[in-house]
Amino acid sequence: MHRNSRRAERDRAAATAPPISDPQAVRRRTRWRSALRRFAFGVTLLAAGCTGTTGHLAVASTRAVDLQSLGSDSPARHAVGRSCIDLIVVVPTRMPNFGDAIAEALRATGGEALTNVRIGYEIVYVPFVYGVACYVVEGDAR
Amino acid sequence: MNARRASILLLAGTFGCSVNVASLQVVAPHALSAGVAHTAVYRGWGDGESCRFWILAEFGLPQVDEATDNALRPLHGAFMRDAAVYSVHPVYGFFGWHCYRVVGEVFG
Repeated sequence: MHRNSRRAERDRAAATAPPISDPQAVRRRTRWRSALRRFAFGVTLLAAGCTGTTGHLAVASTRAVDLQSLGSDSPARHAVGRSCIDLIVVVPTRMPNFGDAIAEALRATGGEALTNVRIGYEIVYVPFVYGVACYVVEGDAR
Repeated sequence: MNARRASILLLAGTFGCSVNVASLQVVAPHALSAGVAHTAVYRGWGDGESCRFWILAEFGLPQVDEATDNALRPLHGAFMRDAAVYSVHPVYGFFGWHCYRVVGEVFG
């Protein structure tokens, strides 16, 4: 029922639209639409996300910490910190900083240092349009 | 004339940058043994790198722990204090390297 009414609407619109008598204009329009469709498909295909690990550390801290207090028996809380930047066209607004990501993770948990640290790098990017790149740090805050 | 143009292009395409990506008070790539924290002494200034080659696309990511290991190894250190980590990008047109460089005080 719905489909029939939509088709009827479309037919009415086609009947009222000014006819394009120039076959070259029709061809141009078809070519333009096809190019636009291909471009949209390409952008969708190229909009890529990528993650990778760029290091594993046993201990890391942005605070002056006493290493003797970081025994494995001290209580730990899993913490995650991120430092992200924007990529406009191909230009980054600044550089991400994994020191900031560690500081954020420590701030969130009130820890002095992170142990069993994984440093990851993530990027989501539509080529030549926009993207976001981040350092993601996770570990046990003590 | 062509040689001059080629050298200008080569110079224009050869560049690089180095940016600080972390300033850490303490960093250790491996778990510290129980006694190290008590007995560690200053061993000197460490400097290490981890690099990956790229041509149009990158062949893997450089590793911070590898760079820290390379800074500690010559001094037989266990951990670093006041360490700075740099992301270094020497670029030669369509190829180059992406490196992490770690510098700081080595203890062990």
